Order: sequence, then structure tokens, then C-alpha cells
Amino acid sequence: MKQSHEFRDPIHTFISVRTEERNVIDSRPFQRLRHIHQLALSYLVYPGATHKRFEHCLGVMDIASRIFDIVTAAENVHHDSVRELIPDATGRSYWKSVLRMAALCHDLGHLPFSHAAEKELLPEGYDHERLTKDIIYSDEMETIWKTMKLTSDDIVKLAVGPKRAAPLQLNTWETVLAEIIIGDALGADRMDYLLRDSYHAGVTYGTFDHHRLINTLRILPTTYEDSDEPALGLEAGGLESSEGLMLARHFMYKQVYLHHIRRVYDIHLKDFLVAWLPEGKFSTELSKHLNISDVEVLAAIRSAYEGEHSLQHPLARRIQCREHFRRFYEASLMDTQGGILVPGKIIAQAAEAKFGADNIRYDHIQPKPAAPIFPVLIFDGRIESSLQRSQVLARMPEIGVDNVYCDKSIRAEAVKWRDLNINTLLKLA
Amino acid sequence: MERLSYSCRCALVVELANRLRARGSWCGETHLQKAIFILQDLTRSNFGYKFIIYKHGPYSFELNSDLTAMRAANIVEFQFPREGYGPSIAPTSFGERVFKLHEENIQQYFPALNFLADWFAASDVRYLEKVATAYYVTKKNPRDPAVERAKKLNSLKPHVDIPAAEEAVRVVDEKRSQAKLRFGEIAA
Repeated sequence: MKQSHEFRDPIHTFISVRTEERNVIDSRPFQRLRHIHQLALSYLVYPGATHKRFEHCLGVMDIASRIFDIVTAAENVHHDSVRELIPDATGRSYWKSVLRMAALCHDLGHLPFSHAAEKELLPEGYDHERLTKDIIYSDEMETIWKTMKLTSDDIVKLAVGPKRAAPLQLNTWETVLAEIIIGDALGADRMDYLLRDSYHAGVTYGTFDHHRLINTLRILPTTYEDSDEPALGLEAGGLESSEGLMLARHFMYKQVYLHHIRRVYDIHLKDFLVAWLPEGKFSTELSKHLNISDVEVLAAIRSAYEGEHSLQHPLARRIQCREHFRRFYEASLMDTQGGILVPGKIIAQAAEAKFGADNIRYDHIQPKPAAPIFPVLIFDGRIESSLQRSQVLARMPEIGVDNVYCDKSIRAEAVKWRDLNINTLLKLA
Repeated sequence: MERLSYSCRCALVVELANRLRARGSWCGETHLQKAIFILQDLTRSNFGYKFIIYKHGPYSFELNSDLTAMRAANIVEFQFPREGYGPSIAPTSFGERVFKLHEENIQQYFPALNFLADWFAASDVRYLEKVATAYYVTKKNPRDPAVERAKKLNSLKPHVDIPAAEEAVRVVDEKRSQAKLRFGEIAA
């Protein structure tokens, strides 16, 4: 009987899975990802961006698996501290299976429309990673892990990483494996979402030479910090590919992920969900979580829009009829010179007092690290910091969001008010 | 306990970096991460930083986010004083202004900042990793004998061998006793 199966994929051409892995893909939690948009309501700005978490997770598994084979190949291991870290053949086979399943399952806990307003829409202490953990530990999934002879704790560690795995603690080997999946610098999750999102959004900035990048990845001791701790890094020959990755990320954040209209649709969606959901929150009960996807939310928006007397009608209209709020303030570095470090917050509070809270929305995202530091193996055997080795990486600017929006009907008035009051509000000379 | 405000956290990082640098420290992110991990514990403060075992021991993603935001806001900057090494973090002139604006609100941390700057200024990452992880293990298992804590450190960071782990645990016990004597009721 055939033991290997293929999915056709626009990014990776073919993605292979074994029969036992197909049980995970066929499970109810994984099939639900067919109905979770990868980029929330971004398709209202970029019409092609209608792809789902399902294919992204397959892509992450495929890339993570290729990275594992490269970094554990004997000819790519040059240092004793790394050699000691990598398990024997049996151990490698086990951890490769764990890695593939963790990569496949890393997004299982996503709420409808992915990241949109997760913090406000879940009870205190919950996020999608916690739901991911709960699903991995569920009876349905435990049955599958048992047949695959995998431990759910190990899958959880790699799927959510050291930040979210508590009370589980990751050792160095497990940390490196988690980096392969969700690492900020060179993780498979990032590689796949940049390639896939840019392909579907029609924004070619997201492409980079991922084949070269994957082939040059290595586990290296961080000797540039006078430490022996191994971390995921690369050979110098792949540095330009990693620059390409970081530039792709920079442009994709600017053009797509933090696009001001896309961001305000996230806010409108949150407003609708708060009004529509019981007590304004998603349930964290797994059966309820698995029963709700974008399909149910879109149907509710449509229904509220059609029922003119529905309480949620005005909120649904904003999404259904593209009556989104307009940006009237975007913070710049100059605006912080009076010592107010988050100027948008001050502008938003004053604007709410002036125009009413219903007419104003505030959006803030702390800047993301521009280019993470990782070890680079130089041709002469030395290991240097990526930021020291690459001027491109060292000079990448951070990107954040500090925007204030208002209802379309008052935008001209809001702009006038902003220009009159900005210096006083922000204590600018 | 309410979280220390973002502006005060910025002022605190600026002052810690200044005190480390004044003592000749390289002052990379690892220095700041490990010093603030211990500062938050010693002073029983709420900076809103959750530390887990990650890069070179206890590490806070929230602190890393703050440092990124501070760099974006031109409060601190990266410098590369030595070829091949990672960045050193230095306050900018705007960072100094932010510190001045909030100096009064963070004065209570100055004795502990001095204690940590004296301890860590001359240290390299290898040392910081050992002692900060030993501190983390001790905090989690305060009643365990030193040998057991050293074993736990070694299981988390296998490249730190048992003798080095035992030495790190000994240093941490000594420093925690010193901190108790110096800061009395605020010490852990």
C-alpha cells in the first residue's frame, strides 16, 4: 500500500506526507484550518489574499523538515558542542517526526480570521498558542500521537516554542528545533508566510531565495558572544538570502500586514465580534472552538447587515459596505521629541473627548525587531554575529504602528483639529 | 501591583546601560536581559517581564520588545565596537532626556542597579549565562541543595558542565546573601 502522499502546492510544488501523518491532516482540528483566512480581512485590500491557514501549515511542515535534514547532516556539523547536541539516528528520526507534526499543528488554535484582536476576544490568560496546546493534548489528537509513538509534550514544546510552552521547559536541542519552526530569524513559519502571502496578495516584495537560505542553515555555537550555546545560524554564503528574507519581511509588513486599511478592518471586525459573541468573547471550550471558523463569522456579518434593526447592523455595514474609518494621524519620530513616547495614544484620547469615542479608533503595535541576531560561519571558520557581518541587516529599520482613525464623515474636521492641537498635546516646541 | 510605565521602563534601561558602560561593560542585550531579570526579582517589582529559559538562560520576550521599541524611538542605539561581535547597546542623547524626565520615579532602583552593574559589568556572556541560569534554577527550587540545582542547570544548558554549574550556583547563593544584607526588606 502507498505510504507517501503528495499535496500540490503553488509555493513548494509538492508537499509529501506519510500515511500516519495524513491522520493528523484529516483530523477535525486540522480540517478546520481550511476555513481560517491566513490574512484575516486583508482580501478587502488585496483581493487575492484569500488563502487559508491549512496550506500554510503544510508549507511550514515541508520547510521545517528540509531544514532539519540540512542542519543535522554530518557534513554540516563542524563543532563539538553541536555534535554533542544532535541525537543518534533513532533519536533524530523521532525528533524529525515531532518537528514535522509540531510544524503542522503550530496554528491549530487560531481564532476565526487568525490574529485579529485575539487579546480582546479571549478570556484573560488565553491566546491562540494556549488553544493550540489544548488541541494537541485533546483526546482526538492523543490517539493519533500514540499510534505514531510521539509524546504530546514534545510536540507542544516545538509547536509553541519556549515563550508559550510553560510549565514545560525546553533544553537547548528543543530550543533549536523550535527555532526551526517559529524562530524570528530563520524559522520555517516566517519563510512560508512571506512566500505564500506575497504570492496570493500579488505583492512580489515577499520573495527571496529560500532554497539557498535553507541549504546554508547550520547549528552553530554563539562564539561571537563568548558562549558555547548552539543556535540556528547560517554559512556566510547564505547571508544575502537572509538579507533577502529580512527585506521581504520589511516590505511585507509595510505593504500588507500593517497596511492602515487592513488594520482598521481588524478593528471593525473586533467591534463586530465583541457585539456578536456571548459576553463578547470566544469560548475556550475545544468543542466550541472547533465549531467556529471564518464561515460562521462571515454568515453572521452578512445576516446582521441584512437585518437593518439588528444591534450589530452598523458594525456589520462597516465591513460589508467598506465603510471603514479613515486614518487622520500617524505618529512620526519627530512627534516624540517632547518626551511623549507613544503620541498616538494622547491624540486618540483627546480626539475621543472632542469627537466622541464612537467616532475614533486607535491602533498601536510596538515596533517589531528589524533583524534578529544569529551566528554566521565565515569561510575561515570563525563565527560572527549577523549584524556585524551584514550592513544590510544592521541597518534594517524597525516598523511599528501608532495610528488614529476617525469616521469617514468627520475626517476633514479631525485633520483640521489635529493640526491646531498637535503641538500642545505632544508638548512640542 | 501595577506594571511600571513604559516611559519609566525606558528610563530604567537607559540608567542600567549607563551604569554598566561606566564600569567598562560591553553592555549587549544579554547583559541587560540578565541584569533586569535579577533586578525585577531582587526589588520584587512588576516591570511586566516574564522570563523563561531561552537564549543564554533567563530571557524575556517582553523586554526584547521594549528594547526594539526603544531602538525605534532613538532612545538607545546599537554600536559595534569590536569586529565579529554582536552589538553593544548605548543610550542616545534623546535617551538621556527621557531618563531625566523620569529619574525621580525610578530612584528606588539605583542601589540595586549599582549592585548589578558591579556584578555584571566585567562579565562575558558565558559567565552571564551560567549565573543567570543558576539564579533562575535557585528561584524555582529554593530548597534544593546546591548539587541538585547544579544538575538542573546542566540539564537545561548541557554545554555548562557540572563543575561550572556548581560554581555558578555557589556564586548565586553568595550574591543573594549579599543582596539580602544590602537591600534588607526588598531582597528576595
